[in-house]
Amino acid sequence: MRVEGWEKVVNFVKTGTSGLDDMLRGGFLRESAVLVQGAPGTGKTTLGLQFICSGAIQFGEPGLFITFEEFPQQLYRDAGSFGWDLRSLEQAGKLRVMFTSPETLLAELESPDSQLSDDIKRLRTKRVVVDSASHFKELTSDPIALRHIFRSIIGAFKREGMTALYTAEDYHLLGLRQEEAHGLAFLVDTIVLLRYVEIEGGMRRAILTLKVRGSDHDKDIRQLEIGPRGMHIQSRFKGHAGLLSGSPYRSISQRALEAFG
Amino acid sequence: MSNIVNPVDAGELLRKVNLTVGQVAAMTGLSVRQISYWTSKGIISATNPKKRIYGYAAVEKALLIKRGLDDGLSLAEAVDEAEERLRQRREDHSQLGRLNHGSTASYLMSRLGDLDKLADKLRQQIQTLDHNGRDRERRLAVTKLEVVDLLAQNPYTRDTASRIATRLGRAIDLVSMALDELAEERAVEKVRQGDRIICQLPTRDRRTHE
Repeated sequence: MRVEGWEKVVNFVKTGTSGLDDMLRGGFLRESAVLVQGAPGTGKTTLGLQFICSGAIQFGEPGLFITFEEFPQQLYRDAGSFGWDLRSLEQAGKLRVMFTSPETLLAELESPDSQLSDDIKRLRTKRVVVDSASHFKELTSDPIALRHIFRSIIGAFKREGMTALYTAEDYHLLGLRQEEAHGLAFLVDTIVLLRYVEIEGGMRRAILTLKVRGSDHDKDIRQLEIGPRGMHIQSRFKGHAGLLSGSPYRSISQRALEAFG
Repeated sequence: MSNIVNPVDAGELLRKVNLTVGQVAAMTGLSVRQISYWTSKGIISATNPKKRIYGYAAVEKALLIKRGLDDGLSLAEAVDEAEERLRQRREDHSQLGRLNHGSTASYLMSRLGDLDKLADKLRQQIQTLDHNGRDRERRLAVTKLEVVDLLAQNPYTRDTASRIATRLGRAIDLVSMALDELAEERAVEKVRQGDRIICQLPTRDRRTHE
């Protein structure tokens, strides 16, 4: 149920993806940590780019995009195809696409006089994307140490008053087996799951919000489209069940309707 | 530098202004003779002395000197004061640059032009080394060019030498050497962060911190 004036009480940050704000009843919680998990190609980076670009262009919130694997030059090009000019945004001091490694990011965040701290203060960045948090697994094989690293990163961006979106990779293209993000899921405030689902001989993208700490959210699984102007969310998958398994079937009620209708 | 905030850069246009001695006289209220005398004494300088063409900087300095003379200063005093004020302004500008968030980006953008020149130089060097067949030097020059290209394409790269080597798919010792040489040439900046050395494009503010 939607409480009147709810959005005024809870401070939301618009996600920039049409439909996702509604699923989250307003957007991401300000200064919270969001995990976006999905298999390669499901749209994690696009969702992140959209979050950062909409902040810089529409909402006056400069952003930081931290990429560990994908080269910024590739991001400049991909974003350009959606109509976002990242280089101009960088020149205007509204964006920084930082190309670095997990250990360098960690060292810079821990130090109060690092270049990164300077950038955050000077640009007054409010949003950050870490693409992808899965790379922190390179730093240690000890799950407790890894959880400590995640806690430190999440704490650092909260300290700076930033809303942070962490992407994480699922290595299985289909099905329920989800990659264990080594406790990241326990530490974040919101989880957004991106999935491939097979419906009637075609692959579709699905989006689902799993956990939103201290707030209500949509429990439906919705269809996700990536078009020429970025990503947008469509209606929920009606008449199908077992979507998260990757191979859904028509729900019993739907089959009954078809048999008797 | 023009960007989406300032589509036309007035400062850049002013730097391109060319004025005749008569125009400078009209703008400053000085006589042509005074201007010529100051030029011959090296107080103001012409961009093209033969044709007596002056840039905006000369107009600016001439005006400041004239203001001093009008206030009753001697020529030497007026020149001193004008130079002091111009020096003060340069300092204010660099101070502003440090405070102004956009300026790091535009400073970096101006550095990217330098990187282009450096890349051209390296390409030429590689060609001459090709002919001489000096393998080791050539390998280093090629790696330097690859590092420069990586930084030009991805200007906010900040990482350790070993990570940069991985990005390029090159051997760490070669990339380390290339980064050392580029740091000596001031094309790359090395910053100590804890027990790591992070390589990046030089940033003006960082240098003033140290």
